[in-house]
Amino acid sequence: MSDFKTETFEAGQFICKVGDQAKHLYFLQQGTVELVSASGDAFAVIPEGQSFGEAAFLNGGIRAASIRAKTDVVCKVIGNDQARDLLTSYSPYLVVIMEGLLLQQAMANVIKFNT
Amino acid sequence: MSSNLPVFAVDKDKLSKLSVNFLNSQEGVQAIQSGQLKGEERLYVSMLNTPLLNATMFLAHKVLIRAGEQFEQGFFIVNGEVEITDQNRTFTVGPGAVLGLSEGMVGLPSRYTAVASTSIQLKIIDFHTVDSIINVLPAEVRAILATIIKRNLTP
Repeated sequence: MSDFKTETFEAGQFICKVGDQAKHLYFLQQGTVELVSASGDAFAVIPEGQSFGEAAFLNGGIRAASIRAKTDVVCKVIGNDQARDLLTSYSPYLVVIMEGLLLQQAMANVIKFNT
Repeated sequence: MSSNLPVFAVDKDKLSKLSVNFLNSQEGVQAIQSGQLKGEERLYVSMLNTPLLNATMFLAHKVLIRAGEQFEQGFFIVNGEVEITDQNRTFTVGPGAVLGLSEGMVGLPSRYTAVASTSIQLKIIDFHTVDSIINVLPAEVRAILATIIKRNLTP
């Protein structure tokens, strides 16, 4: 049992926009989404079966990019507070693990583009 | 040892100037709401304050991991710098760096050697603590964890 809800988006629809408060994490169940920069350029694609919007886990983060449905998509969605509560209900250590993975991801992104 | 500036490090001076010692302090909440804290800075402060991680300290030249070795634990660097050397490059990381967590959670050996460039304070992430829990998590949560790990391990 989880707190995930199902949401659908049509191709071309924005799921969130750069600068928005990041309040939800998404798991892409069907379809494809693309990341769009503030200038409107699509710069990355997220395929079916992956997640996006993990910044929501960061205590009220801000979206660094817009996310747009590239095809019709079906997402599983959870709020950041619910996500923390869900992980904590299994083990508080899972929250630390998630934070560590996200910090490692931030580091990996910087290293990829700067070395 | 490398004298290069760290490729990745949180700005501890900035956190100090903002008096952000805890995310749920008045200063922490203000900094978050005003957008002054980057994602990695929020994560750093949060992990710094968790009581769930054991802290330790290594002197300069301590080898944290050698290329090809399995991680038995992850490392969260609190203070100091670590030199990373892989097949193609050498660079330095500082406070906020996390080493070995993604690799350890999927049982992959290290692709790099990590050596303390300075004395370092760090926290140990015992990923084996959650080994027995991962498989009973909702499928969506496992998928989110798997996505982040995959991204972290993609060169």
